[in-house]
Amino acid sequence: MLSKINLLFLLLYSHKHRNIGIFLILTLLVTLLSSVLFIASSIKQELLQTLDSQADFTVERYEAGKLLNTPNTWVDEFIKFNGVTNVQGRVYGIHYYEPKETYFMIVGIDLYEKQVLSTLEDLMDGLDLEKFLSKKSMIIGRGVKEFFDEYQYKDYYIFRPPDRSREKIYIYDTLPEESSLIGNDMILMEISNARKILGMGENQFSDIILEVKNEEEMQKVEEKLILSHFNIRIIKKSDIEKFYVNLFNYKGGIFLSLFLISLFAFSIILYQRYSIVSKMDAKEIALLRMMGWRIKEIIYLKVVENFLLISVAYMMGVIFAYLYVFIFDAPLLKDIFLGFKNLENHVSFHFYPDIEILSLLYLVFVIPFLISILIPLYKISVTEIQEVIG
Amino acid sequence: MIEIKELCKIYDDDFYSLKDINLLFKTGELSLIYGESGSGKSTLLSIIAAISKPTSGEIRVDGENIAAYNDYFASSYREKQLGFITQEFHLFESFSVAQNISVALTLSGISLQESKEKVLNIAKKLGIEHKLQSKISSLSGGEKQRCIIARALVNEPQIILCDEPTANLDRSNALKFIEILKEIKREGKSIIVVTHDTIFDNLDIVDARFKIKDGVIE
Repeated sequence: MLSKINLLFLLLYSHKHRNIGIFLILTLLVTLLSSVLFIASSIKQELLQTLDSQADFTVERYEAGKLLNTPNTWVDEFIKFNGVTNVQGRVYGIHYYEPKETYFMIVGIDLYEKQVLSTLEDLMDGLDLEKFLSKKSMIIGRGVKEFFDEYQYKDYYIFRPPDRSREKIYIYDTLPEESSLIGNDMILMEISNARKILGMGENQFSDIILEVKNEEEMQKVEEKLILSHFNIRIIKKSDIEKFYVNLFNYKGGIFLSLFLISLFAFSIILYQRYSIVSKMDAKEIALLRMMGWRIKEIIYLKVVENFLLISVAYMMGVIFAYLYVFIFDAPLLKDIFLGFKNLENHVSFHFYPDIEILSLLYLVFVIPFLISILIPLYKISVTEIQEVIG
Repeated sequence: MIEIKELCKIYDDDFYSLKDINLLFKTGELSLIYGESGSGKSTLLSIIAAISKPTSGEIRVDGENIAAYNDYFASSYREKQLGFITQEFHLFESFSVAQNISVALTLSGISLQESKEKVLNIAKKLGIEHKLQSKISSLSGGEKQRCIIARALVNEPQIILCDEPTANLDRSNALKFIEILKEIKREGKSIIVVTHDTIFDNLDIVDARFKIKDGVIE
C-alpha cells in the first residue's frame, strides 16, 4: 500500500505546518533575490546595448573649464583624418521647466543625414517624414508625454528659448516603450528647431562624434584629435562604458545589500531548522529504524524530502519573480533601481536569463539548507534507537 | 533459538544495567521476563532487538551473533526476523491505520496489491479492519495497541518482542491482548514478553519465566 515515494509525501504532509512555514519564507526570499537579479540583468543588458550604439569618440570643446558649443568647421576637419569613417555634429541640451522643476533632454536630429533618418525609421514604426516636416514637430519620450498630458499639452507645447521668444512645437508621436530607459525624458525635433530652443548658433553643435572602423587606427585618431585643438576634450567609448559600469556598480550595491539581508534571513531559517529537528523527527527516524530502515536509507529519504521542499520553493520563487518583474513591471523595486530624480521612468524590463547566477542562487539556498538538516538528522540517526524512543 | 551469553550493559563507565546475563529462548516458545521498574528488562529486550548495543557478551540468533552486527545487518535482522510491540504507542500520528501498518512493508519489495492484501489480512485477524482508514488520533488505547501489533506482525517475523505490552491498556484490552498472543504462539513464532504486569502470572501459554533484578537474572 505504501511505496517509498508514498511514504515521502506522507512525511512531508505530516509536517505540513512546519513545511508550509519554511516553504513560504523560502519562496519569499527567492522571489526577492530573483526579482533583483532579473531587474539588474535587464538593466545591464539594456545599458550594454545602448553602449554598442555609442560612437567611438565624442569630441567636446572646453574653455576655462566651461563646456562650449563646437563649431561646425571641426566636422569638415575631422573627416579628413585617416581612419575616420564618419563624423557627425550633435545638437542637444537641457530644457528646464521651472514651475515643475523638471528637465527635458532636447535632441536635434538632422533628417537629411541618411544614418539618422534610418535610425529614426527603425525606432518609429511608420514614420511619415513629410508630415513630420510639414510643421515644427517633435517626438517625445513617455515621461515627457505624461507631463504634457497632465498640463493639457495634447497637440503642442510652447518652448521659451533663452531670448524669451515663443517656439510652438507640435507633438508628432511618442517614443516606443522599449526606449524608455534612455529616452524617457527625451524630445526629438528637427535640428534647426533644437538649436533655436537651446539658444545655439546656426554653425554650432553641442559636440561631435566620430567613428573609426579599424580598431588599430583608434590610437592615431585620438592623437590627431588632441593635437588638432588646444581646447578639445575627447570621450572614448571605453570612458562611457566605465561610466555605465560605475552606475551599474552603484545599483549593484543595492543588490548586494538586499542579498545580504536575504542571506541573513536565510541563515536564521537555517539555524531554526537546525535547532528544531524536533522530537517528532527523532521519533520518526527511530520508528523507521525499528522497522529495519538503514541509516543511509533514512538520510536519503530526509534529503529527498527537504530537497523537494526547497526546490519547489525555489521554482515558485523564480516564477513569482518573473511575474513580478516582467508582467507587473516590478512595483517598488523598480523605483529603487531607476530612481525618480526627474521624470518617472516607464521602463519595461526584458527577460535576459542569466543561468549562471540563477544556478548559483539555487546552490546558495540548497546546499546550506540540506546541510542544516543533515547534520542533526545524522546525529539522531546514529543515536541508539532505545535512547530516542525511551 | 536465541542464546544470550555473558551479556553486560554498562552506563557511565560503572553502572551495570545488565550483568553477566545467560539465557536461552527456544523457538516457538513464549518467554516472560519480569521484574520491577528499572531492573534492566527493557534494556535486555532492546539489545535482543538490536536497537541497543551491549557493552560485552553475545546474543546468538540461530547461531549468528547479532551483537556484532553493523547497521546494515542489524537493520536487515530487524526488518526480516523481528516484530517489536512497544509499551508506548509509537505510531505515525498523522498517518491512517493502514498507512501505519504498511510502513513495515515499504522495504520488502512486494507489490502494492500484495501489500494491501497483507495489511487487510492482519487487520482482519486483529479486528481493526473497519478502522483501516481512520487516523491514529481517533483510535482508543486498545485499538492503537492492535495497530502496533498489526505492524509488528504484517511482515511475518519469526521473533516477536513485547515491551510492557499491557502497560497502557485497561484490563479488558489486556485480556484481549493475551488472546492475540495465544494466536501468535499457535503460529509457531518465538515470543519474548517483558512485563511487570501480574496479569501474566499463572498463564498457561508461558513456557519460560525469567526474573530480573538489578540487572541480574535470578
